[in-house]
Parts: sequence; structure tokens; C-alpha cells
Amino acid sequence: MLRLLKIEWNKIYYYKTARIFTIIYFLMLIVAGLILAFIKPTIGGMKLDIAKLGMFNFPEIWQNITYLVAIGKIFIAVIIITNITNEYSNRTLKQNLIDGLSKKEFLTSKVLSNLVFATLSTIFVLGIILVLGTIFSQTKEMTFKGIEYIGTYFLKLNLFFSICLFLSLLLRKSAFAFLGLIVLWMAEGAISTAEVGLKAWQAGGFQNIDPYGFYVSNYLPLNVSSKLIDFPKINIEGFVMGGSIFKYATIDWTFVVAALVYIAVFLFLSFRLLKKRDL
Amino acid sequence: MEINHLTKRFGKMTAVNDLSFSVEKGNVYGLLGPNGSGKSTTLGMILNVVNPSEGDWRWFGAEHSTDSLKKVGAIIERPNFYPYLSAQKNLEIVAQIKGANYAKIDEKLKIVGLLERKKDKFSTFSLGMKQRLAIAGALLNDPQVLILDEPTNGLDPQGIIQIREIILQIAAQGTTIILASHLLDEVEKVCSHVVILEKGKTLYSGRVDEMTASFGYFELSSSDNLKLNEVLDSMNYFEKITPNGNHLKGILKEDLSAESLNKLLFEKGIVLNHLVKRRESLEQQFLQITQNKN
Repeated sequence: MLRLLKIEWNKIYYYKTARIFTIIYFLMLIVAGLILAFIKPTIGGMKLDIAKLGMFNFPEIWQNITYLVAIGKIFIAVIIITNITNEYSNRTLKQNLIDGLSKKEFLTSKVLSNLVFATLSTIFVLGIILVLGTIFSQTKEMTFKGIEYIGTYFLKLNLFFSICLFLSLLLRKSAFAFLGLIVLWMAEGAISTAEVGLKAWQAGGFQNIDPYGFYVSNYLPLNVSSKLIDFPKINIEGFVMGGSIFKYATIDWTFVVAALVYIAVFLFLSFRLLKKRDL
Repeated sequence: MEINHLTKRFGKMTAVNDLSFSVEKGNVYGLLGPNGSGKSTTLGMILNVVNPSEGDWRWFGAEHSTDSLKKVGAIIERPNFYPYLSAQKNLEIVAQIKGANYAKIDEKLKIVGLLERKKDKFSTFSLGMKQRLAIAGALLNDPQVLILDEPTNGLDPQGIIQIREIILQIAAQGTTIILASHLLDEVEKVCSHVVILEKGKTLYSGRVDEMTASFGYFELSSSDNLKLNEVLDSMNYFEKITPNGNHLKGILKEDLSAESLNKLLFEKGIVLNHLVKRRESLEQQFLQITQNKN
């Protein structure tokens, strides 16, 4: 296992572009935290201080921050897709196998590097949340309530990276792998819209349906990823009463189960592809 | 190594058809055939990158596995490395895969003459250097078998000579070599045994020098070729004598050296102005074999 990690380290770290973007990614996580904390824009003469809005209050901070920084996963997705599709375009996958790496070991090495990226990101985000929360939270109690969002963040990254891994192996060209990702994203969006539209039509108007209710289309792979950390719930009432604008929401564990199932499915399909295809 | 009834079909096309042969330790084998005759597919299968339709093979007398490939060095068609990594880093990856010691890297780079360039990126190398780096990679674990697929393809004459010298040097150390090529003279210069493939079928398998039992032929001429022809006819050494441009071509029935022929003719009062003894090239023998089977 250490041997496979060492091989991946040589492939990724010594690739200058990948190294620079990896460093930028982790810096960006930190900078995002700093910006959130210290930039207080003035909008229409009113000074907007998100700390005052309750952005960094425990326990809502866990969901708020993981939701915001999750967009950065695109950076790592680019590195993962480039790394894997390069193995095809440089024909180094073929050479690795000829040199005596098994197909299983090859896949394991890629899964391991995904895990490393996800773990490092999670540790960074955990640090950012603890620092911001300690400084800015207006409610000091209940520090670790909501920490499960760190777990779902880790899971979300792994699910997304598994999809990238599968698409890279399937399509073998980086541009097509990205297109595949966009097609999947748009297809899921279209299916979701259709389902919501249908429900609204049955219920006689959009005002009659619950946007946080049950939808089958929420269990499509990318939708599961976004549902793992849902858009933070807004509580206008609480805000007007002088409290936080955000409302604490618990995790829907069915999405955790769905994510685990999808990761297993994508890794299994990746392995089959690798096994069946001639190089 | 042993190959039994290996077959590969791509849709309706059969690339390799029921191929069987075995390779003994310490010999240099040529896998010879025109482009598209199934050489690379055969090597791809025994190297685990192409899934066979039927048949199996054994390495070192045991069931094949990825571990057996660690004792094999192979270069397929063209050198495959990470272009953004240095020669050193690329070989480190190979060493990690094969479980070889990093200390071997410098040793093998020296053999192929790339030690001074080890810090340079692979993408800055010329094709000849890339191919030599591939050989260094294949040698990294001191393999018992070295497989080379068209190793001189696309190289300039100097590069070809360098690669051939390295191959002969490796063969001299007792490493078994399997060399796939469509270049006949390459196989002739390097190999002791040959397997000839055409359309996925074996046409010939055996020693290179036993391919035809010919003793070679003479090309000769003198100021009076008619008289020369008569004298040669009476000598009983030749199977056939035919005019060949300004020369006569005499195909030998039994062994005869150029020196003794010259002496014999001189004694009969013929002074030659041209005398060359040739063996039929592998190319001619190859054509003969493929024609016989068709």
C-alpha cells in the first residue's frame, strides 16, 4: 500500500502543473476562510457582517462552511481526471502493467490518492471551522454538535472523486471526461426539474410543494453529492428576532447510505472496465 | 516460457490463430512477420495487456501472474514514460513497480549511455534516447527474459546500431531475448532462433541457420564467361549455374570455400575478375517459406 502511494506521489507531485494547482487549492481553502471572516462589504450604506448574521455560529457553522468550500473540489477533480487520462495518452498504464503492476493495484493506487486528497481537504476544513467558530461564534456552547457534516464532507469528496475516476477510465480523454461530468450534471438537473414540475402540477402550484421534501431524483449520483450537505436553511423569523439567519438542519442519513452504495458501484464498474478492456 | 494454443479474435478478425511455441533459456528468439501478422498482439497477451480469447502460457515453468512479469523486461512498440518527469524519476516508478533497488538506476543508465542526462525531462529526449531509456527501464530488475517489440523502429542508422549493440551485449550475458520485428536482417543479425508468423499462424519455428539447408552460392565472372560456365559445369560442385548480369551465379550442392574454388579455376587456366561467396539472405529464405506455404 505504501508502495502504491509512493508510485502515485511520483506521478502527481513531480508533475509541476498538478503540484501548483494542488498548492493553490489548499491555499484557497485558507483564503476562503480569511475572506469570510474579515471582508465586510458595504451594500447600500449598510455594512454587511456575515459573522453578525450568524454564519459562524455553532452548530450551523459546520454546514455553512462545508457547503461553501465544497465547490473547491472541482480543482482536485481536474487533477484526478488529468492524472488518470494521462496514463492513457502517455500509454503509461500499458507500461505499468507490462512492468508488473496488476490492474487491481493500478486502481487501488488511484483510489488511494483520491482518499489522500479527500482526507487532507477534510483536515483543512476542520481546522478552518474550528478557528472561525472559536473566534466568531456568538454561541460558544455545543461546539461539536453538527460535526457529522465533516463526515459527510469527506464522503461527498470521495463520491465525487469516484465519479471522476470512473469517467476518466471510461472516456480516456480528459476533455471527454469533463464533458461526461457536465452531461451527467445537466441530465440530473433536467430530471430533477421534471420531477419537481410534475409534483407541482399534481399539487396545483409550486407554493403547495415542499422543496426539502422527498424526490426520487435526489438519489441520482451528483444530486446525492449535493444533498449530503444541503443548502443551509434560512430562518427569516429568527433573524428578525435578532438571532441567526441560519437554521440548524440534521443530515438525512439515506443520502449517506446512497453515497456509500454509489462509491462501491463506481469503483466496481471502474475495475470491470479496466479488467475487460484491451490496451 | 511456453505458449499453448494462444488465440485472439477482434470481432470477426482473428489476429492470432492457435499459436504455440516455447522459448528456452539463454537463446535469442526472433518473432518475424509482416505488419499485422499478430506479433504485437501475441506479446500483448503474454504481457497481460491484451486479454486472450483462448489458450494459455507459462512463465518460468509456472502459471503466469503479475509477479512473473517482474522478472521480465519489455518494450512495446514505442517508449512509454511520463513526459514531465526526469529519466531518474521515471525509472524510480519502474523500480517501485518491479520492486528493484534504486541503486540499479544509475547502473542501467550507464549501460545505455544516459547517465549524464538523468536529471533531464523525458520530453526533451530524442527518439533514440527515449528508446535507450526504455531499455534501461526493462533491464532495471535484471530480467531473465527481455522482450523487445520493434526496438529500432523509426530510429536513424546510428540509433539502430546503438540499440543493436546494447541487445547483443545483453544477450552475451545469457539473458533470454524475444525480439519481434518485420526487419529480416535485424532478426538475422541478432537471433539464434526464429518464429515466422503470417496472418496469426506459425509458418516456421526453429533455428535461424536451419531454415534452409543451402550451402550458399558464388557470384563470379572472368574475361570469358562462356568458358567459365563450361568449366564450372564440369566441376560437379554446383546445382545450377545461371547468368546474372555480367556475372555467373552458381548455386552450391556441397560446401566449397571461395579460396579452393579460386585455386581450382586458376589451375584450369581461368583468371577471375570477380568472386563473391554469399549465403541466401534471410529475406530470400523468408519469401521462400511464405511462398511454399501459400
